Amino acid sequence: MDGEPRGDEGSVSRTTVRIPDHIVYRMFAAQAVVLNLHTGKYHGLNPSGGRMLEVLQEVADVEQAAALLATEYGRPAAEIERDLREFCQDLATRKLIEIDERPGD
Amino acid sequence: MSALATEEGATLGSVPPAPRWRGSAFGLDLSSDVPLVGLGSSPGTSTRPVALRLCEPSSLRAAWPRRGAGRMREVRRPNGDVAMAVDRHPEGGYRIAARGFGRFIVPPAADEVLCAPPRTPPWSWQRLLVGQVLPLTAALRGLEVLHAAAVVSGGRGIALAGDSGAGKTSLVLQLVLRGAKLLSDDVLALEARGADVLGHPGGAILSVRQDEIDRVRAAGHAPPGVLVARGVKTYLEQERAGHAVPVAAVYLLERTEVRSRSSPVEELSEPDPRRLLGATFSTMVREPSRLLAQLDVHARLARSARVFRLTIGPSTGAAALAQILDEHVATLPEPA
Repeated sequence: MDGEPRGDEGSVSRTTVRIPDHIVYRMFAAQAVVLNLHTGKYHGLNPSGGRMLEVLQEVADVEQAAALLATEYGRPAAEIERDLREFCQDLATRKLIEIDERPGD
Repeated sequence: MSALATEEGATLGSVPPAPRWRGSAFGLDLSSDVPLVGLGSSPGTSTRPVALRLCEPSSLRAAWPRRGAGRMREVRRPNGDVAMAVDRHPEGGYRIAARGFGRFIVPPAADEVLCAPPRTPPWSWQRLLVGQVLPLTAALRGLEVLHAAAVVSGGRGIALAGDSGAGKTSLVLQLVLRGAKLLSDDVLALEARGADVLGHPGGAILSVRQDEIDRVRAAGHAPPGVLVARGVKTYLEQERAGHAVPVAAVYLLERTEVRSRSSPVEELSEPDPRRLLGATFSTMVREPSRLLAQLDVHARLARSARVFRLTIGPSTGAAALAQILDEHVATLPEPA
């Protein structure tokens, strides 16, 4: 499909994320606070971001995580997946997660 | 006293005498060769024993590594002189020194505090011990320490967080006059336990400005507590709560120059985590385990305690504020 990342022979690549052991987070009333234990730096996430991070920790596969969140929020899966990938890129830029792209089966 | 032989045949030193004083503060079970003023005289119930050992300045100097320490904090007087300095060494621990208050070393395990006090009355040099060294020790032992005073009112732990000069001590004094019991002045040690966050008893000597003492007397009251000393400020030892209590509410004190008719108490239903995290007392201890414990406690506190902003206007005295606060606290759910 258009817009889908593709590996060899047109297969869809699989994106997984990993939260390193030195990255921890806790939920507060209206924010999630993410802490890099190596740098001592804190990052704040709004409630949606906090929920995305929670789901990504449970389900490392971005597509599966997006499907779960789409059901939870009642929004189209493609829309959620786009938001989720953008979110993951932002976290990766801040060195809070590691993204792994592999060719699909 | 007998010398002990190890299995290897070496001889240990003499068995040290049993400490003469035991007490507790900031979640630590303290033992000491000298009484610690205002920290109670009964053993605590935590599992964090800390021994205070007095020594000569030369012994303290010898116990600190000659090289490799970094300056963590420095407080200077208006004339530029260093009033207090905190240094850290990876193997040596922390060294805290303040002119007129002595030198202290807290090793990395924080199971003892070495102290070379000056030749001043114990209540005086122990102000640094209680105000800085023991809170640092508590942080190293896994407790979170908040820059907050606290009282117990109706069985509820009430924390009053604010910077130095915000009015915490004056407010605590007035709350004690109204029947609250002091939990801690200026530094509150917190521990997550079950669904609650417990506040531990801390320092019990209130350092009160003379104008506040005058206001208390003008209202027909005697300043509460036992007089310890009188100088620029009056030092009053209070009866302290005997054990840790769940923190039911945190009031964030904010001074304003704006006069307002609205209630000075505003609930923060979704408090900014930075407000709570920013109230931490010890910013020097940055070990990962300590940062994680801090995050855990603050997240738990945000869920278990109600958080309010308490605005102090230009004409609001501590007595009036204490009445407002007292009445507000009475509306909080009673403890289980």
